[in-house]
Amino acid sequence: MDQLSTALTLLGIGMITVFVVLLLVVLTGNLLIRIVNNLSSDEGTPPSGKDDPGVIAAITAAVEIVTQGQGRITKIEPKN
Amino acid sequence: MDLFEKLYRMTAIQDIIDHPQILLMLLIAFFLLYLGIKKQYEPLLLVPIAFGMLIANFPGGQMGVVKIDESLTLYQIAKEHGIMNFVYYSLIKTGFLPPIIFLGVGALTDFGPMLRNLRLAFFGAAAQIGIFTVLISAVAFGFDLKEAASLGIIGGADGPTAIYTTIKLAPHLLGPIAIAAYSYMALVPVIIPLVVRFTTTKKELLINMKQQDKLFPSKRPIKNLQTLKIIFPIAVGTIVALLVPSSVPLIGLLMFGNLIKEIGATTGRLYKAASDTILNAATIFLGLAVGATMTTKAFLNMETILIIVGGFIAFAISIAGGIMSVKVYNLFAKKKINPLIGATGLSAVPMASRVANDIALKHDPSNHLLQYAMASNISGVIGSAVAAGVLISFLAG
Repeated sequence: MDQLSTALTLLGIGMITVFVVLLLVVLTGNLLIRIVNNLSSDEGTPPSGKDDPGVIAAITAAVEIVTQGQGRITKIEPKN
Repeated sequence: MDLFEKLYRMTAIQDIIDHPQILLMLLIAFFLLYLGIKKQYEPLLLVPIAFGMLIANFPGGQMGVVKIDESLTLYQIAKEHGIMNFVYYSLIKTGFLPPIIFLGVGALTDFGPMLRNLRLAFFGAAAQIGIFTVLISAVAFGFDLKEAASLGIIGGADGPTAIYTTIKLAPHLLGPIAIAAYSYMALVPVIIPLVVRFTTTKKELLINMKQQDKLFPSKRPIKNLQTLKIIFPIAVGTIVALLVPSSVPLIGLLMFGNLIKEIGATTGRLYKAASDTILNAATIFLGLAVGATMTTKAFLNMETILIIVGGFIAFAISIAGGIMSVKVYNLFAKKKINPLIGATGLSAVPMASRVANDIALKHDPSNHLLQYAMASNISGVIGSAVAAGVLISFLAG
């Protein structure tokens, strides 16, 4: 009977802890999004890699080296 | 004649004749190998586990894990009990390998889907209910609390977490619990549709997540996901370490693995090692050593059958718990959520998400909910590790 009541206590404590931790993860995530968004807008929109000639040159050079001249770039897309 | 007798004694044949139950263990090992190789049920783990089980059950090979005096040095263990006991007592019994596997898993995890749909993370919490309800049932069936907690953790659907918890609480049950955990994870494509069929309606399964997003767009779109992905594992690692320190070996290394992935080129070599060499080596040793714990004495008993049955129930309740939490949420929210998102709240990443996506597409070919399912699926990994931390904190020692 003692073990059963401990198991019931663990059900309560366990589920509450999991919810609280994930609640904090969600709240922290939202806070971080807000902070990062504010900082990002302060810095202005970074140039898209797709259109930046410097970035294109760097990617082309990297592909050239890694594939030893055999590779070809058909599309450049941001990962996210 | 003497020579022939010596040759005969050299083989394992007489031992197998004397202990025919060994044959049953060999058959189980062959069956698990068949499932891993031919049916491709979690082959990366099931094949090493099954092969470890196979070689452990041949008498005279000293490859089966046995109970030994733990005051022996590792050298003495290797010399007197063979290399498998050395691997088991140095890498498994110390709790070393499961966190190392979490390091690799972290390096392979993308928190992007979760960050884009943070509110879905709650369903990863609801889906841990199976762990605790089966804990209670197992106590009612006569398991002690530590054994019951190890059985319940199968419901978290996370192999390394189940193994880590069992090592800490009931190491004598490691073999059957690992087999049950990985078998059910492999059977996710069967178990999730089964539970979904009994707990949802067609109307609910037709809820289109993308349409809901269009109807109720996010108030805060992410402007710089890459920076966020770097800060996030540091923040989550810190929060968990503060609240449930006993889960830090798992969550801490999961987050570290993820961090070295997200930093990019500067830690690229660490990421490569964690996600490739280290993860693969750890998987081999973990699989073989866990398989080697499944000797006739440790495996062929009533407890194993109860663990297999209890593990399935834990799994099913976890899935149903996630689904029910979505249903309750939908009662109050304007922006509806497909209950399949709740079904993926248990870990089993990414298979659970893929299965949920397939079910959704069957009902509506335009309803691609993989990204949404991944959000609750990844939070389920955190949730089950936290649940394991709670169990270890309260019951270990």
